[in-house]
Amino acid sequence: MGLAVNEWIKIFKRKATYIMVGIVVLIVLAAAIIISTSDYEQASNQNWKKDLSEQNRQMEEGIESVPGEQNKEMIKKEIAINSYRIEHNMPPTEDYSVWSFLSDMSFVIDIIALFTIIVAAGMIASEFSWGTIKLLLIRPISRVKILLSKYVVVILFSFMMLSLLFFLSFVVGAAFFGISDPSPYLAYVDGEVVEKNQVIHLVAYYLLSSVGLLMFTTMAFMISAAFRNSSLAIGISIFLLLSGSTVTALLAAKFDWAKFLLFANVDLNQYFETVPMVEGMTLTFSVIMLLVYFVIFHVISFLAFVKRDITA
Amino acid sequence: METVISLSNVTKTIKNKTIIDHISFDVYRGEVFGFLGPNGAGKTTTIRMLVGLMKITSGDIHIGGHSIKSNFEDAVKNVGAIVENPEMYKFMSGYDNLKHYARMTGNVSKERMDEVVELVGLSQRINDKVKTYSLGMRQRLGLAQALLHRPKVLILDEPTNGLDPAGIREIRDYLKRLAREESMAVIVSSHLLSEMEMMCDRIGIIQNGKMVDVRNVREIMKEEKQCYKINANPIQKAFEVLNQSFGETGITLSGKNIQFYGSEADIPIMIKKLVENDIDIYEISPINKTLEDKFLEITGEQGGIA
Repeated sequence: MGLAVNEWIKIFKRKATYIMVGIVVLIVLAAAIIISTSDYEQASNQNWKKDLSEQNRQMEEGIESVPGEQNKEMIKKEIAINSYRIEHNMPPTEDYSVWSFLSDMSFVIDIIALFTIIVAAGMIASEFSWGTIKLLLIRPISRVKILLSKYVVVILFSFMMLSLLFFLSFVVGAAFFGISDPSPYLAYVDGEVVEKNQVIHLVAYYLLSSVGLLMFTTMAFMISAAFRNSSLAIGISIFLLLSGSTVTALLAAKFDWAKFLLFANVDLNQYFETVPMVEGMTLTFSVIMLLVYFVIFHVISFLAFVKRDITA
Repeated sequence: METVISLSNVTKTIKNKTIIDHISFDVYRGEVFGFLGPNGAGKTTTIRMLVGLMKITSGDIHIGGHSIKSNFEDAVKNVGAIVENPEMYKFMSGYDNLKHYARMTGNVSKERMDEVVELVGLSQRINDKVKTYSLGMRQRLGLAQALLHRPKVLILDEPTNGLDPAGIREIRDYLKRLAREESMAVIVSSHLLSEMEMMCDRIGIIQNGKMVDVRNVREIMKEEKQCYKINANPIQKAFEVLNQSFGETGITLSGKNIQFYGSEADIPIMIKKLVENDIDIYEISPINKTLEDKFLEITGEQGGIA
């Protein structure tokens, strides 16, 4: 317990941490101001039913010429949702409300992932570069406990940032755009369109997006423990975070084994929002793969941190 | 005497290279034990094994009766240490740093923290950020964190590195006091012999990873025979006279002086002989060999073998 308090204090005694929190707050405020000042006149488009059926007609014509099963699947989903809107009289563009704002703000999760990676990468490596690792590890506490406390605090930090984002977006969104009854979210499950509660969908979306954050953070933590160098850990993790899905998508087009890569599996939203990156992947498969990676990352951190001599 | 730390056949091998080779020694309560050796002899490696930063390849270390291999937490409870430079979290205040370490040991009251801060003389600056501290102040803060939990053993790696003469003297007196008054065992490492001579009760000399010798400092300094310098006139005649009476061993003529190696009892006999032969004696004085000479003697011999 004291260990976690120590690590938490060490994070919040540094200016960089407050800069990170400040950036998140600024982005949310700036986004709210920009969105509220720009026009959303399309909302009052009276001919939306006509537009949607026109869209559907075009997509149906083009679907056969589109390459790839996944892309076809995507288009089918679009058509199904559009038809559902026409049938049930649900315009695609409603009044911009706090819910739309929350949904728009989910991109900030990637920025939080970036910050958490920086914190995680420094967690062990910084102790080495500061030289404080020596005084830290001569306490009557096993190294496993120290490693664990550091990891737990990184996770707490990311959780704190995500909650900050969610609640701040809610408060700011409510202040700028008002709280309205959320219109149902239309999900596409097994070829059927289903109405779902928008709030539950948003919370689920945030949580599922954090899975990727958790995996990349754990990876950065592992690299930090293994190489004892924070720049390296930050560099590798961010590089993989940015390029991973693109590279995997390229590989997936050619090789079937791409589905075993971490990046093919981190985005669990793909099973609810779009279609899987590689054909034949299921939610269960991804969850198992993520668990396997998670355990591997932790075993490597453990071996690197607990078993090796401290020569710094 | 109560043994606090006991090393038995401690060996460290890194990539098939033996860094530390079967080192064994004990350190008792209330003594300052000096760990002496040239750079690269294995002092720091041994200290890192003592505090559990490095694994022991073979052999074992017991601290306060607990093996550091099988019972790390109980063994290290008895240890306060600074390994090389006392690096602290620079972005926190001295007091926050101490609180950080106090949380990791438990059983450290606020009173104890204030007491230790007072003891190392940092009361004035303890709430300032560590990055504003001088090296001497960091050294004191390092000492404070090592003393917080009232350890039985204090281990300091090169404690006077980078300190000014006043600071060195302060640390020295302070360590002696801790050993005498609090009956702590203090282990210091250094490659500076003059410093060790003033600070330590016993000195272990390490070279090429082997413990060459463990000696009492006073014992080293008080040997039966020692070297004397004789200034007399005429010097050549004096040399011949002494050669006749004491044999050629131990007497050398160097410039205007004769060097004589012998026991105290030889001196009056020698003076008598010289006076009988009408030689004027200006000066006979012992040449005090410093620990440094002894050290070079000891490591020199062993160095040839290794």
